[in-house]
Amino acid sequence: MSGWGLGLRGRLLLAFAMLGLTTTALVAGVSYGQARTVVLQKAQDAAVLSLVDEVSRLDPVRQLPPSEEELNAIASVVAEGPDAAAVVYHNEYATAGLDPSELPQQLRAAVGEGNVVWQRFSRFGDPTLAIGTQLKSKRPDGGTEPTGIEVYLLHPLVDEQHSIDQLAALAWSTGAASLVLAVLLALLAARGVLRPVSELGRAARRLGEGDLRTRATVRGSDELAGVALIFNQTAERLERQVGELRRMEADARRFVADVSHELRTPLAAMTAVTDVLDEEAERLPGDAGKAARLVSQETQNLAQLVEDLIEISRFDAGTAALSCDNIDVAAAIRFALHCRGWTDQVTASLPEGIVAWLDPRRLDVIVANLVGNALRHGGAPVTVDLRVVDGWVEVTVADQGPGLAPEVRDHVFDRFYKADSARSRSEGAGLGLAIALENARLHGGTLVAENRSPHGAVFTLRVPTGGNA
Amino acid sequence: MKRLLLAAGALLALLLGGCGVRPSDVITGGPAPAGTVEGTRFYLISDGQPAVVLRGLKPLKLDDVLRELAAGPTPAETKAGFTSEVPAGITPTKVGIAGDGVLVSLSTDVRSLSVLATVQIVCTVQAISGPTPVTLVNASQTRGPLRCPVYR
Amino acid sequence: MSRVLLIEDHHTVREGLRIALTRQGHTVEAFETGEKALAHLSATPADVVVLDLMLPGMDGFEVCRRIRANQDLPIIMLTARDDDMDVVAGLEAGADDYVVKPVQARVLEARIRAVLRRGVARSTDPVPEERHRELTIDRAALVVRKDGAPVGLAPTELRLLLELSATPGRVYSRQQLLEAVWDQGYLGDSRLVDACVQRLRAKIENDTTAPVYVQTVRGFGYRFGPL
Repeated sequence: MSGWGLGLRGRLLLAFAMLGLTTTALVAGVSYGQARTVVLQKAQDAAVLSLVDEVSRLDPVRQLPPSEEELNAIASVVAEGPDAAAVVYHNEYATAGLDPSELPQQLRAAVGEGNVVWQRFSRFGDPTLAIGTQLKSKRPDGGTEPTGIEVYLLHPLVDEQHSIDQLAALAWSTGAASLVLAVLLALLAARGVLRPVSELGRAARRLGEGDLRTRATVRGSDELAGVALIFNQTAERLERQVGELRRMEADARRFVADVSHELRTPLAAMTAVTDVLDEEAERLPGDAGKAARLVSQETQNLAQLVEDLIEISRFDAGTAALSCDNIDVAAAIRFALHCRGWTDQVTASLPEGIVAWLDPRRLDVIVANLVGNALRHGGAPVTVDLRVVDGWVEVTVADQGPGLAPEVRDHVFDRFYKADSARSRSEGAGLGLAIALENARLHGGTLVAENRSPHGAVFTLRVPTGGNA
Repeated sequence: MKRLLLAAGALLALLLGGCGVRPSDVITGGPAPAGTVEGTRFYLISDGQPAVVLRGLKPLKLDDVLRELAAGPTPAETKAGFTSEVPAGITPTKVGIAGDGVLVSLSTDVRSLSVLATVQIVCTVQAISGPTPVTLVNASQTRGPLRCPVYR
Repeated sequence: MSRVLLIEDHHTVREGLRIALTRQGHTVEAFETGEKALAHLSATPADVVVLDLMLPGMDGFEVCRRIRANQDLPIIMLTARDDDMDVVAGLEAGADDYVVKPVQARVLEARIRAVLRRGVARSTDPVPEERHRELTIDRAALVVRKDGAPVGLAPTELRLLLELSATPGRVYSRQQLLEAVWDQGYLGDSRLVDACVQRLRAKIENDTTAPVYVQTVRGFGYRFGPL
């Protein structure tokens, strides 16, 4: 049945319909058959008995071979009403509406065996009963012997046909009614089953969409109720587990945020003096100088990492906020490049007049990260293009380096992901693109990474222009 | 699923086909009715079977009956297809009562009479003389006691 | 050589900042509580205050307000970046600028220099006093009078007013003002501008809800007038 794609309702309908039809067909068919047999039998028996009675009360036969008159006399006695008769003696016959050649061959052959025989056949399209019998004579010794006279009677069964047709019509209409009833019952049964099923289906879908508080109504105590009960138990367990997981995740995030926050204080003290170390490092002898520079550098790296972590945890906690202003995007990008001394290393196409409602600090972070990555990991020439497309500001940073390997491209925005694991730590912890992406999303925009032909990577930032003051 | 539909189809076909009054085979009832005959019964052969014919109403004596029998079928009877195997030379005959039967002396050989001829003679005799057995004799030959066979 | 009053409660941070600022050539007086610092200030003047907001006892906002009440001393807040609300509150309390801990010495030095520059006149050429309705602006003496009475403006507020009024009617974007007044351009927090404008309006406008001198141009920035 599964290959047919019928729903539950369809299958129930079909089953009920088949059941109804089959049962009705059987019952009606059998009753019809029985009734038909009875009707016919009654008609036949009556006709036969009537004929036999008349034949046995015929006037005695006076001539054998009989004369034409004698045969005619018999024929006219036997034939009455719509019945046609024929009386046959050897090759001669007398007819009262019946030509013996119309009679079925089988019947004529059977008559010779000395019993009353009858047969139904179709005469001019109407069902007709043909009765045939010998006329025997009683012998003084008690036996009987055939006279050689055969009497045939045709009794039309049109009336019986009519009654039977009425019976058939009744059977058919009963069948139709039962089919309708079966369909109605099926629909009713289907509804009774389908309603809880579709309710369960809706609950399951809601659960799948994320509403873990969904519960199904448990009605009654049948299998469906059992399923609904199990569903509820599962949903509850799921809700609890997801709640657990969320709590654990929130705890973990809070831990990261707390730790990062705590790291700030010692870092503040260390950061304040890195410049001092850098300046003094030249005057320190040998390794001491290197040590001083090392500490200074790593302190700055650590401070940056902690800042990145705090930024990320703000995104995760949902507490990151935009502080937007109408920004001349070209000027902002130019400023970002200038600040870091990249103006000469980057080819920028920054048309004037593009103003968008953006957070300038976050824009700066994104641009700095993308261009920094292009310069460090991509290859010259690095290009920055700015344009507006359909109400979106598009900033494209492209390089002509080796491009992104397929597995790298899928994970490049992941946290702590570094494409080349042998890369030195001085180039960051791998949070830059993750933060850039979150900053883009915070604006309601997107950041995507692709390869361009023949080689090189392209990072495209798209943010809405905003358009309100 | 397919089987279910096939069965349904078959049932439907059966229903449609079996409707109405169907022609039948020959149905056999009781024995054919018997009427009475009036007249002298003679037995001739029709279609290889002994068959009775009626000739006249006047009662005849056995000698006359046998003589008529030996004379063979009448033209009307011949036209109707009757024949006789009774040889013409069975007369003169002498019919007598012996014991509880009838003795018929024939002038011909009784042993060489065909079965049908024998039946013809015996039945014709019994039609007159009643159900007593009939013995045919000729010189030293005897055939019988015989009875007319009872048909169906 | 400027005198820096440093108020920071954590001792290593205080020590680190003290070292860094001293190397830059500043004279640093470092205190761990607001009360001690205020007491010192009443006796010994300073040129700039570097103030941590998280202080035991009297908190940084209160210290800021108290200093502001008495003098137009430049104040730079030290804040941890989480405390966005504190930044706004601090700016409202009267701080001229803020830096986020951990901060590198050179960044703090740049902010201190910038804020000190605001208190210095741009040119020594005598410039006539400008009259804008009730305001009188003397660019040479760096004095602003309203209806004849001098108005006490913090250096940053003064610098902002001078910048805007130099070209009355011209619209400056926040970024331009951050660049001109705070030396921070696109990296600066535009809230610095907004907070400063608010404080300025509170001091020179008759009705801060309908400002005439420092007007907001929605979607663009601020401008002086038109009157």
